[in-house]
Amino acid sequence: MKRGKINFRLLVITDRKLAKDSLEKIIGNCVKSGVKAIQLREKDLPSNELLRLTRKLRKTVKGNLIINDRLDIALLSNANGVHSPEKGIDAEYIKRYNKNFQAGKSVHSIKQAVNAEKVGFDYILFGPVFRTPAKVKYGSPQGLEKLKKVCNSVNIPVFAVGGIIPMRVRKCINVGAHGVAVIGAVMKSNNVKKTIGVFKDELGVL
Amino acid sequence: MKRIGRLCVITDTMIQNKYSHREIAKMAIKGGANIIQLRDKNMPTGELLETAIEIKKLCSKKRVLFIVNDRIDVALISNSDGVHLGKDDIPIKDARKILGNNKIIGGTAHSLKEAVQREKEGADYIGFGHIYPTYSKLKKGNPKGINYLKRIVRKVKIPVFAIGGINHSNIKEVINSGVHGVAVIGAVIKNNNPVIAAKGLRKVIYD
Repeated sequence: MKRGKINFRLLVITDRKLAKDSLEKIIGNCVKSGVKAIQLREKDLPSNELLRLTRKLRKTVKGNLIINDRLDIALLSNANGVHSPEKGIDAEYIKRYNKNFQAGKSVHSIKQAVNAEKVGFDYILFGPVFRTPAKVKYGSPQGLEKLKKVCNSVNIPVFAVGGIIPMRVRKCINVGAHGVAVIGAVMKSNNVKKTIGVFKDELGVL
Repeated sequence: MKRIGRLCVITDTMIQNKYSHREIAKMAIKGGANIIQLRDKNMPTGELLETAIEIKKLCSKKRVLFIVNDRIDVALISNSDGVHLGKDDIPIKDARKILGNNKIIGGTAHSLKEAVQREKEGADYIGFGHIYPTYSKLKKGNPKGINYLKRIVRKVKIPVFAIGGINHSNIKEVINSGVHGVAVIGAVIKNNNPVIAAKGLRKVIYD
C-alpha cells in the first residue's frame, strides 16, 4: 500500500453541533491524547468565522489539520490539506496551490474509490460502514463486506467512517482499512481523553 | 485603478429557478452587462467550480469581467477576474494574500463608515446598498436611499456600485447620483425578457 504522507490511523472530524464542549477544548484534549489528524468540518459557518476558528485551532493542532471542502481557508490558515466531499473539488486543484497539501476524498462506492486514487487523492473515507444517525439520509450502511471490496480495489489508505465506535475498529482494520474516521464518538464523548485512549488500544497507534 | 465595467448582473438562483447561473450570464452578456457576478451560497463546491469555469469562458469571449462571490478558492481555480466579499466573507486583506494585486476585490458596505473601511482595506470597488426596497434583501433594514448614496460617492475614491431594488424606473436617478455603476439581480432575471432588460439598463448608464 502507498501510505505516502499519511502518518495517522485515527482521523477526528469536527461537528460543533454535536459537541458536548467547545471545539477548542475537545480538539485540545484530542491533541493532548496523541491524535495526529483533525478534519475541520463546519459547513454552515460563514467564511470569516470559519477562517477565525481554523486559525485558532491551528495553534492547538500541531499535527495534521485538514479543512473540509475549503481550499481558500486551508491556504489562509496554514493547514495541512483539504478534504473533498463527494461533490467537492479535484485533487489536482488542492495540490496546485500547495504541493504539500494532503488531499482526502469521501467516496460511497468502489467506482468512486478507484477514481479518487486515479485522480491523485492521497486517501479516501469510505462509508457509512455502520448505522449512524449523522448519515441516515444516505440510506442503509454499506457494511464491512463492501469496505473490504473497496480496500482491495485501491492502493491508497482507506478510512472507515460512519458509526465508528471503539468496538468496531478491529472489524474495519481486519478487512483492510488503514484507519478510522470518527465524529460522534469523540464530539459526544463525556471524556475525550479516555475515548481517544480506547481508540488507541484498538488501533495500536493513533 | 483597474478598469471595471458599469453594469453588473448577479446570477441568483434563490429568487428565481427558471434560469441557471450559466443561462443568466449568457443573457446578461448578450444584453450588454460588462460584469457577471456568480453568487451561490448553497451549491456544492465541485458544481460551483464547474459553473464558474463555464461562465469565465463566456465572459472571456466578450471581454466581460467575471467576479465570484465569497469563494476565493473558486475564484482562484476558475481564473476569474476577482471576488466580491460581503461582511461575513473572508476579509479583504486575506483575500489579497491569495489573489494578489492584479485581481479585482470588491467589498460590500451598508454605511459610510463601512465604505471608508473597505477602501482602506484595499477594495477595488464598493457595492453599497440596498438603495430601494428589494425582495432579495428584505431582512437587512431600511433602504439607504439616493441621498445616502451621494454621500458615499463623494466620500470614497474607488468606484461605487449601487445595489438593491434598482430597475428601469429608477436607474436614471441612481446614475445621476454619480455612482460608477449598478449591480442588479431581479431587474434582469425577473423580467420576461432578460436580454432586453439588460439592454435597457445599459442604455441609461452609457447614454
